[in-house]
Amino acid sequence: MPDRGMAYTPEQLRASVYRDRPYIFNGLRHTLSELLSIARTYSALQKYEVTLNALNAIAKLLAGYLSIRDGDLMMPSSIHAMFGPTEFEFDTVLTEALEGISELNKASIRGGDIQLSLQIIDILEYLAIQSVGIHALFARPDENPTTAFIRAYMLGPVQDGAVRGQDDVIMSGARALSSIAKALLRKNQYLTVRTSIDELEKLAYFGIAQRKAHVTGTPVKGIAEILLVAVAEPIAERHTIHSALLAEQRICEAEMQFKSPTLDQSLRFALGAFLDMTQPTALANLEGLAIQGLSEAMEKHDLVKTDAYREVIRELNDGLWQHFVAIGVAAAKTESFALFDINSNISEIARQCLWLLGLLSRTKPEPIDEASALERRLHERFEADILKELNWIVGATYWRIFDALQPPVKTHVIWDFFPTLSHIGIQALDANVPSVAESAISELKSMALRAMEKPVESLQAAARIAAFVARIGIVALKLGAQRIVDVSIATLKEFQPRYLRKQREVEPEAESYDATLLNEIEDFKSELGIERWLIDEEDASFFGRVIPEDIDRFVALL
Amino acid sequence: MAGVVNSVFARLDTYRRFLLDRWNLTLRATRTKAKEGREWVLRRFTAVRTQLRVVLLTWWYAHRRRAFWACCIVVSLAAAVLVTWQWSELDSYLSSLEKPVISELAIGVGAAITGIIAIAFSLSLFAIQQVADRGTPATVQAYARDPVLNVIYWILAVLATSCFAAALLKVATTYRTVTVVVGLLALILSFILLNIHFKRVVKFADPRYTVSRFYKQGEGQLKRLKMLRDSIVPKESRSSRG
Repeated sequence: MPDRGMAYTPEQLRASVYRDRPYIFNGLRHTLSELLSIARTYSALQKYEVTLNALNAIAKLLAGYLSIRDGDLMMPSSIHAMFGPTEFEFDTVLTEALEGISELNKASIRGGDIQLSLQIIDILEYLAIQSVGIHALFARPDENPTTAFIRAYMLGPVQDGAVRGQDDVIMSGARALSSIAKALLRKNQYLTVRTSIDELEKLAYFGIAQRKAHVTGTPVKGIAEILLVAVAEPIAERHTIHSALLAEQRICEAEMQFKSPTLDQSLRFALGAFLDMTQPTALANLEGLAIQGLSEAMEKHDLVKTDAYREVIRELNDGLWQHFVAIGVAAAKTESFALFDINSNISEIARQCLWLLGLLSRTKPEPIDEASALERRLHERFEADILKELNWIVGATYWRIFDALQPPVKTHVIWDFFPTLSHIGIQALDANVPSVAESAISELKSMALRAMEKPVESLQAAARIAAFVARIGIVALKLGAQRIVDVSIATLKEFQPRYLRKQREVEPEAESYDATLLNEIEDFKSELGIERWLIDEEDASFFGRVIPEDIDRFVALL
Repeated sequence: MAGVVNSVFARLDTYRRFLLDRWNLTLRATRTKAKEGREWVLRRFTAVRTQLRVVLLTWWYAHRRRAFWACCIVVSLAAAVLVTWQWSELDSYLSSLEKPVISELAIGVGAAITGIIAIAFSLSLFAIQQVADRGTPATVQAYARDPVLNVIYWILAVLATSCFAAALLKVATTYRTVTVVVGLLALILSFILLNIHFKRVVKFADPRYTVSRFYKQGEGQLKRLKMLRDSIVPKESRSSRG
């Protein structure tokens, strides 16, 4: 916008001067063209130190040119793309140079010259990152058409290389895209970040189609790193986190269409960055990072950061259960080992959210004045949001995944689901969040009932699943959480007649039927007597705190 | 009595054996200590020698260029002092030579320098053309426009012309010595310039140098563009500045 009393802003004036006198840049264009010619000549001779020098020189000169053209660079924005004339005006110096570089890259890919292609991708990445701070004459504040323009010239040849199966080119391109997107995100240029995520997703599909786990893994890691920046900074605006999560979900779904052998490492290489808990960019670790950031900000009374972290956690959790369901359903169809990763992520996220709910209830601000009253309202609303999403994650994911398993269910991975759910329920009782324990019971009940129709190994498995409801109920009885005791008793009472009916259906001629559920619960007592040196956290949360009398009291109620 | 004597002798024998053992032990300990001391001295000496060698080598590596130029300056100064000191003897010696020798020397030096110009520049042009064929045609252009090579060419040309002009001077005694000294100095200078020329041509043959040259050129153009950018301001701002 022009200043008051001034026809043009300095940027507009400069842009018009440059547009009317394009010969001003002839010297620089000539120099760039000479350098490109040198790179082209020596690329044919495979003198890579010369090509590297020439390309670096081009990149530095173009970066210098962009910094001089800061504010007056002619680049069409997304608004131009949607409205107005279809003939766009691009900056000539940049366009010419990028055309030349892109042509050289295409030629190198056609000729299988990977080394040169990697050099070109590196310099374009450098240039794109340098352009992140440059403002175009017409651009929205949340987009950077210059970076998008450079990225487009980089991506064309990379996709060409991907089609030809040049793994190094596609991996280098994905790493460059990720770095560019992270730099853009730090400058709050969300629209361009989102298009970068889309491009990364496209690259991942090349890896999936070619069944190359390491190729799929690089874009997946790239998107996960973008998420990590968004969570750690924290930057939560314009649905960048949603967009990244959706992209990861679609990639996971596509990858899991292909059946992989149990404990096959290729799945870890392909999706590990997003799902494997041992990696820092795994979903649950991102949640943990955000929660840790929030608690630190709250401790320092940094209201701005606290708000930002709240937004990040809210966006991260918003509809997270749907991502889990989508990925889990895809994994269930091929009985993928990813089911184990999904279960681990849910377990960890639930643990962190319960801890966060505890923290929020402890640090609720007192409404002394208007500002503190507002802060308390925000605090409570955030608490409610977290609880709502946690209930969805715990109560709506597992049975949907279980439904997607093809009968007969052979995968042993689902046996991790039930102890996890009972553990979540017990943790919820400890954190005094009964609604989550109810969700866990409801989820276990759904699966136990479904296991009668779709047997897991045998019919007895349904009773074994229902016994995990009893675990929550026994601990609730010990803690005096009557509501949860009632819910668990009601659930088991609903289960038992159905189970008996099913037993009769399976063996109508039998003289008597086994009380499997009660036997399973009685088995807890014998397990309590066993001295176990190695016991996992989930079993320890139950066996470490109950005694046989607690179990008897619960059975008496049943 | 005999018992007492025997016991005294037995006691003395015990003392003797005791003293002999002590002596042997002390001798062995002294030998061991002497050996250890010798080894310690040798070790220290080796360490000092290695350290000295490292220091000398690193010093030499760090200062070798400076040392070389210092030697050159010292030799040049020594030569200049020697010539000045022996000027009259040199005069008398040159007077004893036949008259055309001096002018022939000047013409010979001038012709040598002219030959250097012809051969060095034409050969280097040939090499540069080959480089340009492989790289970019701009290399020949840059070679022709290079200020360092231009200065070398003109200095050589001036030296050659001066030598030819010196051949025409009158055959006075002082002129003879001056002509000889200046002629030989011109010859030495032309060799030095030839060396610089050679190194410069090698640089031009290296494509990385061409790249760096273009990069510097580009940097200059960017500086000019920046100045232009700063000069483009709306009228109002300009008047408010003024």
